Amino acid sequence: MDALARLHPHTAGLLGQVDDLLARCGAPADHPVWPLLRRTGALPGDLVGGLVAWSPGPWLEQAEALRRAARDAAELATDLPVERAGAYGWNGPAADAFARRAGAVRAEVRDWSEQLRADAERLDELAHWLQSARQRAARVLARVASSTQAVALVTGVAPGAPSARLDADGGDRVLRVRAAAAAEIGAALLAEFDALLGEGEELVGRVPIVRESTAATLDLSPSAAALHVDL
Amino acid sequence: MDRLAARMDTAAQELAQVRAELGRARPGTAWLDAVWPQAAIDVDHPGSAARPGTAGRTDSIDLPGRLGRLAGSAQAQLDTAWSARQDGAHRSERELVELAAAVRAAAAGYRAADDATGPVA
Repeated sequence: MDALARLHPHTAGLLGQVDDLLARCGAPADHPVWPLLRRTGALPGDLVGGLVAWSPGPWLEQAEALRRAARDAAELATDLPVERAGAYGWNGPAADAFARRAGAVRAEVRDWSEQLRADAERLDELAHWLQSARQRAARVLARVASSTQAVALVTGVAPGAPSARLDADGGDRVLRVRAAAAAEIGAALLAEFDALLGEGEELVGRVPIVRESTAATLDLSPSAAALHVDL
Repeated sequence: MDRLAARMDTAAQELAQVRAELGRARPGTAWLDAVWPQAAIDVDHPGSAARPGTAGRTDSIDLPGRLGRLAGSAQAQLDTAWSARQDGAHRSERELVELAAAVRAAAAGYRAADDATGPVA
């Protein structure tokens, strides 16, 4: 469990209020929260919750599985009895044809193994971005949760102001203070998400080349017939 | 030559095993298996956190906004690579099996020639 997962249950109430106030009361037209909302396409509490749910763990485990498979495939390719037909009492043109074809298959398996390693590196890269994103989100979440805006959001009292609850229009004023605090908190969270999502998009945008395994250069199929001809 | 054919068959089986293990570790559930985060306990307001219509839902999650689009793009990319790897392994397995069959056929051809004309060597 990382910092974000630990922090989220303790800030879910605050985030819920931020989302609720943004949805109900909005913010001044020129407030920076508006372009950030447009760019991220979601309310701050929803984004934080979404990131909490998105764990890098499965990707890291899958990368390890890919590396294991790559190792096994590389060993298998090395052990293939290519160019050793003679050791099995087989010589001549048919044995040479076998060696060529088996050599092509070995190259394919080696190629496959390398692709698996590349896939594992890609998974690592994505998982590390996600880990970093979660750390950054946790930091900004901790910062806003302990900010004066968070106090204002909960109490409805602006920082440094006397208690608003004694005023005649206390209700409206409290709501205004809380909405303003929600907009500030929302903007702080969304600015961080905007940046980390941009980095993630850049990473995903660098599409790795998905190579098809190289087809066998020697097409002897149907193999049995071809080798019979050689006989 | 029969031993050689058997060796190729074994290699095909080993590759199939590697592919099967890979299949069990298929990527794609980094977030799908998770519980919707808003179901996390809100320590300030217990019982208020679950989103409408999502209580107990663990099968699939749509991450919000741009985060969801990013997750979807990453996953689509991984799925494409995954399918290509599975296809590649399957193709190599098939070729190994074909090679084994070819070696057996060649051995049978040698034996037939031996029967007809006597051992060549």
